[in-house]
Amino acid sequence: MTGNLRLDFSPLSVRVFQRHLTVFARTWKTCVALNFVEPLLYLAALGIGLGVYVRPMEGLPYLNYLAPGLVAASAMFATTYECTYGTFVRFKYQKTFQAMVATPLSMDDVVLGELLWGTFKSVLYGSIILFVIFALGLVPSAWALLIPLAMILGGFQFALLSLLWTGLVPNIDSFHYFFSLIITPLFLFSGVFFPLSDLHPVI
Amino acid sequence: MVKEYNGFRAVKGIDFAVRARECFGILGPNGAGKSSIVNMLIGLSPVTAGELRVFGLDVRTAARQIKRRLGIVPQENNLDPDLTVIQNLVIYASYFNIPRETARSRGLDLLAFFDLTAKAGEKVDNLSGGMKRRLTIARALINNPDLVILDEPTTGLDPQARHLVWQRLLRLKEQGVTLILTTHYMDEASHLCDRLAIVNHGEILAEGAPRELINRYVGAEVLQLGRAAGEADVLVAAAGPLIHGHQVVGDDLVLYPRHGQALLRLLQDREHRFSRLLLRPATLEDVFLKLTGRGFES
Ligand SMILES: Nc1ncnc2c1ncn2[C@@H]1O[C@H](COP(=O)(O)OP(=O)(O)OP(=O)(O)O)[C@@H](O)[C@H]1O
Ligand SMILES: [Mg+2]
Repeated sequence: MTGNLRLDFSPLSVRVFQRHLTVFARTWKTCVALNFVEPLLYLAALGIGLGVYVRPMEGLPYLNYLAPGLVAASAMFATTYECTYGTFVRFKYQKTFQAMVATPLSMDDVVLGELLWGTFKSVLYGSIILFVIFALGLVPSAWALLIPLAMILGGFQFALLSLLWTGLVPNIDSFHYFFSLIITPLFLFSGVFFPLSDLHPVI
Repeated sequence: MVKEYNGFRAVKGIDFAVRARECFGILGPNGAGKSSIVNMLIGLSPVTAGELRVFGLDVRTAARQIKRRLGIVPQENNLDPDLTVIQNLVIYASYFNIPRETARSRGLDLLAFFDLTAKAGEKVDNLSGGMKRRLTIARALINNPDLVILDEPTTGLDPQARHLVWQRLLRLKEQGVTLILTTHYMDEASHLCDRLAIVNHGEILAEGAPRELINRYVGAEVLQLGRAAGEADVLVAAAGPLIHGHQVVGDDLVLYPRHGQALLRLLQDREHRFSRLLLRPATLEDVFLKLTGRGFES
């Protein structure tokens, strides 16, 4: 949109992040509560339900094996939803970005703000699930407290990936492909449900 | 300056200058290129060719400095639906790095200025169309801009809301703010603008003060004859020196009289042949008709 390839960032991009935080402050209770539901369903259905039939993995009961993977998955889904559907709605339907770039904000600032926000959401939602499985006694080591640091990097990567997709294929139907071709395979085949070392070499 | 979209020339090389503290109008029908001009002015869409300076700064290289001193009212409201009315102002102010407390008090002042105080805590989606428009204008003033650019500020407003907006804009002008506005309302242009450019198909057809344009192209009065286009030649010949020009507009004939009353007397005995016979003060619309040879809305 800026028409040239030179990047034009400024500290004002923090204002974009703060705007999202203000919106989030109004709705966080429902957002966070809803975010609990899915990982807990997975834990219950797979960890407890299916886990009965599954032999221990890497020396852990299946529930314990599954739990940390769900932390990572929550972190991933939080940022990918935010930076695809969330960003798209702000851009296309709410015209929030158009309003922003009428101020001293540049489009690059807006994108950077989205990136910061996506990363933050990833860390926040991942940490919440981490806390839950900790409360359930599924976290054996205090080293787990360092996991949120890893989420910063992971969250940033997924935010970037999602924003790239949103920028290149700005079409709400295309997000379906993004999830079924990229995100869901990553979710299924990244060691959340079973160790990758046991995977058939073809896959 | 020129604006092209994929080879289509929406703005065909126009030239204009706006003076500090004046209200400058860009008047033209749908598709004339008004928004294209505005979007270049505010740096939202790149200038295809030519030069564009705002506050003496090049829009291509100094967008941030320019936008700091600019208030922008886009054609389509883009208020933040995730925020309340007052939050819309305070958060928008934060994009200018205006401190929160300053923003809040200025925001409340602006809500009062636009009769929106009672709605401060309301969600934006619950406002009426007219209220949203006023809030969008209020938002454009949060940074105390030196120049406010308004793309069709009153389209879709009822007469009462329109007058409120007009009054507020005139007050801003009194305070020394420069205004650029686009409109397709003739009355809005003549009411608010010190000078204006009439735009059609991406070109400026005429530029000047409203009264001056009317005098230059039409004169003080026009005589409009409904369904008289068929006998235009006969009527023009009959009117002879009583008119200084004429224009066929669809089925109608518009005469530009030298002596309105005398012309009216001359034509009164044929009145039954026209669907109407009306002597009225000339407006900007007549200027537009004269310049383009067609009606404004067609
Ligand atoms: N993004 C775009 N891509 C292609 N063509 C465009 C684009 N924006 C505008 N145009 C074309 O440029 C011309 C001028 O449009 P513009 O929106 O500037 O008119 P306008 O005077 O603002 O009209 P209105 O009164 O309807 O708002 C139109 O023919 C329009 O179809
Ligand atoms: Mg327009």
